Amino acid sequence: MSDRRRLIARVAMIALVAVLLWLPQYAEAFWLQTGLFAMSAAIGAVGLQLLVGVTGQLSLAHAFFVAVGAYGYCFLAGGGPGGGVEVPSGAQLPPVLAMIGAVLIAGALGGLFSPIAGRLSGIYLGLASIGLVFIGQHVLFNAKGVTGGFNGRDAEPFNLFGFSFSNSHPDLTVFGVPYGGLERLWYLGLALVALSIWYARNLTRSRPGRALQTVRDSEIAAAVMGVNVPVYRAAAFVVSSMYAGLAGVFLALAFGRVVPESFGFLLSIDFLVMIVIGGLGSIRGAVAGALVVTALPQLFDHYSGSLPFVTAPGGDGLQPADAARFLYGAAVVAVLIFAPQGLAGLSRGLVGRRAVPDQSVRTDTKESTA
Amino acid sequence: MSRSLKASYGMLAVALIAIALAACGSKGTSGDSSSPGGGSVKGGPGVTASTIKLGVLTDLSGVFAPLAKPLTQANQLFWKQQNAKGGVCGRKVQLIVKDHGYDPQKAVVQYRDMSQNVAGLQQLLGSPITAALLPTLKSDSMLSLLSAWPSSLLSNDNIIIVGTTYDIEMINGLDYLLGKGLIKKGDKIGHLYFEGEYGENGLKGSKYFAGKNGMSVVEQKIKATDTDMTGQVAAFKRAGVKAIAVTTAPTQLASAAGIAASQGMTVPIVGNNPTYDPALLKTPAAKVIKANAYIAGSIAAWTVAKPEVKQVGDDFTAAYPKSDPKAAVQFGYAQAKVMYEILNQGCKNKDLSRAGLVKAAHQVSGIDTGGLIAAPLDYTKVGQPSERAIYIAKPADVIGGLRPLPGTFESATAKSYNVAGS
Repeated sequence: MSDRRRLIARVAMIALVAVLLWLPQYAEAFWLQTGLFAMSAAIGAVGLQLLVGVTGQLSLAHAFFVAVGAYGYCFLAGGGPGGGVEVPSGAQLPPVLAMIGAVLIAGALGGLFSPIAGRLSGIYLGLASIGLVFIGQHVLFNAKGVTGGFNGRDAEPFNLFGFSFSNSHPDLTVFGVPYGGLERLWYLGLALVALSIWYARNLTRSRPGRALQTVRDSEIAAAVMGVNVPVYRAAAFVVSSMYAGLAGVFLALAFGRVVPESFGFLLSIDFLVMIVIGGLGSIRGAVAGALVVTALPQLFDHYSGSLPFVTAPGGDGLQPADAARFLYGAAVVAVLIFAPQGLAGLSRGLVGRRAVPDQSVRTDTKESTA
Repeated sequence: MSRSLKASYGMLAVALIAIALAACGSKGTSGDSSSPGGGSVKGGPGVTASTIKLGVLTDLSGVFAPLAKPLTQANQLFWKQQNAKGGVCGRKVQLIVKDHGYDPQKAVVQYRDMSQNVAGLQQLLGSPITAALLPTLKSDSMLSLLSAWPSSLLSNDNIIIVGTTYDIEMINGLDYLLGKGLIKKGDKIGHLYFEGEYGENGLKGSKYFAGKNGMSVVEQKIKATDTDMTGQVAAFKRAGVKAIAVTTAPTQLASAAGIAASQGMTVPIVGNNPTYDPALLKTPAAKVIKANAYIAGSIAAWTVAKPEVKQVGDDFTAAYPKSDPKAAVQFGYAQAKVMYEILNQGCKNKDLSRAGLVKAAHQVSGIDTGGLIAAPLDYTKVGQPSERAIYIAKPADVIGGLRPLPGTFESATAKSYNVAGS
């Protein structure tokens, strides 16, 4: 019986992947662009899940590392001739190297923060990390030579072995549908999300992953079993930063141009919401949460015209965007009430999968010892 | 069969149906260039034989909602009236309004959603949004009428700014004070400005003016979230400034004016057009603002003595009785009027395609807004502001909250100022 269930779950997963691969054939730009932002969010949310859900640490600096990834990519890949216009400097590396480099820079900065990340636990680390977001904002606005200041800077289109993820070079038509930048990035995003999930799952099931979970569940037990708690905490922070960096690189590609306002404190909060409504500790849940938090407001906005009690934008009365925000808030509250273990818990109930160790959800916050 | 197993079958079925649907649909067939229809006019996205669709990408639920709402309503008012008179090029204009709430991510998705269905953007509001969309707008040849006045964007031929720019507003405003003897050569000017495009563009103006007149600028840069100006005003006082230039939001103007007065600084305060909101007259700083503040901008106040200005005000009040009278109304109306002139030119050229409209935009000149904007507008020179004159207005208890000084003002310094210079 259990085998049959697992088979069905697997077939459903394959079907889902097939749908995702086929989607650019008929999805309009709105859906693709929303999807790209959701994919970037998914990568970042998986990273934060490793830190918060798996290791039991709290970070509010996720937006900062996303910004590092985004600007890091733009800097490393950019800097070509500006066509007469003054452009921020760059290293002019091939985009693949720029992507890897940006992730490494984010990891390195996470590492610099590790003396703090290793010592503090839980909410104390959360508070300590807030500062990074504001420092980041200040730098983004003022280090004009690199960031372009308030004007932001262009993200060089991604390029793999001469194949450009932009509207041309080469022109591409698949089954009669022209594949432009959005369609191409869609596949790049799927690959990156798959890579992120695969790595995170392997990590949580490995020896270091179990050590991290022990740190979360009981610091003392972990120490007794020989886990170097500060080192593991710092390592979790670095890995999470690198995930955020990759999310930033893909966000930059999805935007085409990065501006400082995209990386404010609210983005950090959004990431936390994603993993909470996805279900703390679950990798799949983080992806689902990212999808909900990113796409739901866009969908509500897209269809707000057909909602009752809402005026046309600009009219006197309830604005569609406000209505969308109310609905979004209500949806989040509903998830927390009816699915306290998040979307992951909900889907476990539906598909009936038995819980695997890495998804043993623990929503209870452990007592802080810092 | 267990409940959860049934659910699994359900999920599988949903997934299979989704695949089936996916296999049927194809977007390749729905082309983006719609047929032009009527006559020999070349069409483009958003243009049919009977309608022209224009996008409005604005902020009706975020920080700029109090400004953007009357602005958007004024856009709508103009086109409602113009459509009643037959529209433009034999077509009715329809606005597609999207509210991004000042969120770049949302704005990019909304833009993607509308971009294939509109001929141009009647309104684009929010500097981070504009910055994020800039390369896309350029590659789409999307004619975009900005609801902001930064000279830094003038070099983009698809971006149209209605009225003069922040730097020129500031040069004119300070030159007015100089002419009236309120400041003199060699004085220090304090400049309170926002971090970002708006503030830095205003600062560029005051620095240029100071350089031309042997003055110096004492800079105080703040973030939009800073609302208490005590420290900044104290710095101005220590430096002994003789005037305060303000390139911020209304909150900071009120704070700076009030604190300056309480510290015994009675210096003139000159603000860019976005620094003023009639709601300031209900704050404790109202008396000081009325006494010391000068608002420099190319948009007409409600009480400018021109028939068209009065007509727009009356029509707006009749159409939107619940909306507050703000200068954004005159601006929004003028903005729509400029779009009308551009579409009209495109019609004459028999080309309403995207590229055709960008070309048409730079063929129009001498657009008379009947005083809604201080001077006639000329778009034939890419990279130059459409005009350089402003109104000087004093906050007062009149409709719209501003009493304009007679006539318009265009200083020699502003005329010779090179917007592309650094």
